[in-house]
Amino acid sequence: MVQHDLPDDDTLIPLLLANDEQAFIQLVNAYHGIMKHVARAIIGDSIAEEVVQEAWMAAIKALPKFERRSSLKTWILRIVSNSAKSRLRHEARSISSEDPLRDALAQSGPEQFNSNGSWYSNPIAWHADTPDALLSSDELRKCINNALNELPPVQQAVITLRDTQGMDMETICNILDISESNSRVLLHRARAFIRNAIDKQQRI
Amino acid sequence: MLHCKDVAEKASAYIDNELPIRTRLSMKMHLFICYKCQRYIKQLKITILSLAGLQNYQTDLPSESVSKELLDAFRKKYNT
Repeated sequence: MVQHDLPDDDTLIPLLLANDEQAFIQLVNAYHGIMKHVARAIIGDSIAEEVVQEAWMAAIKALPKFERRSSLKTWILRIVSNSAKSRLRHEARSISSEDPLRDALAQSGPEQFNSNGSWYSNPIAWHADTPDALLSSDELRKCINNALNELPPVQQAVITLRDTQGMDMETICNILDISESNSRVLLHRARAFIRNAIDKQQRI
Repeated sequence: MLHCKDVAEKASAYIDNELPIRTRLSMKMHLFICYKCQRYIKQLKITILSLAGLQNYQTDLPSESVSKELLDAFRKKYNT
């Protein structure tokens, strides 16, 4: 489904404050997914949806006090991040024993090399070798989506916020509470994983 | 001299233009002579651009009941 373009903040915020329900529904549909990425990255899958709903309630309440020192998107993602972190503190380890960051950093890249550092299996030329060609193929689009879903939650959040949403790394690190250097490693691993999935599909 | 393995590891940083100038130059030297790594970098770039294009398709919508609940809360707050 193609997502309808969300109006910019200057248009959207007054509409929301004036009780425009259509604008609110658009907002929810546009951001619910990325909010869930953030929640999952911080507290794991089991209560992510609950935390996102909590965050929506908080955002609805706080909107009239929103001072616009960041974009609405960043502001909302910070609210989810804070809800998730405070849940994490309260419920400590009882929610889950997964440590998303540790798991993500432990995973190695998909590319394989010989002991002399050369390619074990040479990259082949792709027949679909432009973004448009990739996205206009249902199989390839599905393949990218599936690969995204297979990524560990923190990698999923980093690559979605960075490459799909186009947010800057500093904001992303801040929202996900990870260091700059870790975020770089995670971003590269995630990209390499998706490239590898596309590559496999192109070899069929 | 960089190996293909090093080039692959630094590929994202290279594309994002975040490498120190020396490393960047070594990468360029390697890429000049290695079509395999050229291909890899090109494919990684295409991957990144495809992810940007995915924004128009990506949807993880809330369930109907959640949407309704949020809309109710919104109404309650802003309906004057």
